[in-house]
Amino acid sequence: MNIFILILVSFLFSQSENCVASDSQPMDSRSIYSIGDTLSVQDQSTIYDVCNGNGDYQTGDSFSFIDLNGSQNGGDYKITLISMNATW
Amino acid sequence: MSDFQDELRTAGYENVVIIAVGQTNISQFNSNFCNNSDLPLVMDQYPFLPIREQFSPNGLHKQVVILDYDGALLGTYTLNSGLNWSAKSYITDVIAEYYEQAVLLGDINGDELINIQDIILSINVILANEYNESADLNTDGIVNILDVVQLVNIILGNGQ
Repeated sequence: MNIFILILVSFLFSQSENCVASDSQPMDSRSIYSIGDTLSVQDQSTIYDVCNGNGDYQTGDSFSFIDLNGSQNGGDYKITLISMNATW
Repeated sequence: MSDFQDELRTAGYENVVIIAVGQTNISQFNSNFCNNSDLPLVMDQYPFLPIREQFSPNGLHKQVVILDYDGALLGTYTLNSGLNWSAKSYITDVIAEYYEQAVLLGDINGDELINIQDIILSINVILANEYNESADLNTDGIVNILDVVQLVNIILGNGQ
């Protein structure tokens, strides 16, 4: 029982510094992409929180990759560089 | 804007967006892309971290992922030694290879303009039941009315 409480407390505290994951999905329902693959529309439509924004995005906005997809946003074509910044 | 995005724009690559992806609000930006940066920091969804997992299962730190305008994965590069010449060269080469294609999609007659002439040509492609890559704006492998609508939106200013 004590171990369960310890795990629960650890889990709750581990989330405290993260943005709210409004529709986070388990990985078993998601795709893994290699070079040459195209992200599915579903994966491009996943909404993420912007926690430090500027320019087109302000803090508190939401972001999805489909925002930058010219085929889906009316022709605003952007190449996207994603810089992974967390110490996973 | 980061130093690197400045460099890309100076080189003529205006339509490149750089985003940083982090796991927590307090994640430290690495110093590579984020020198003088006000880049949007996008938070991966906890606990499944779908951005990380869809590109780098089990997580590679300081990885750069390059996506085309339609969500195609063009390349990845791990910044083990920072954003050095080799990294910049790789990223710039990938961008250069795909940049023109992205910008000129919809320019069916190849005059570097998107206008009513391209709409007419696009309709001709549809009526002739042919395929033209430049006319396939939504890149679904067929040219149909959806592509024409997208082209009209571009011309009307709803797109680029």
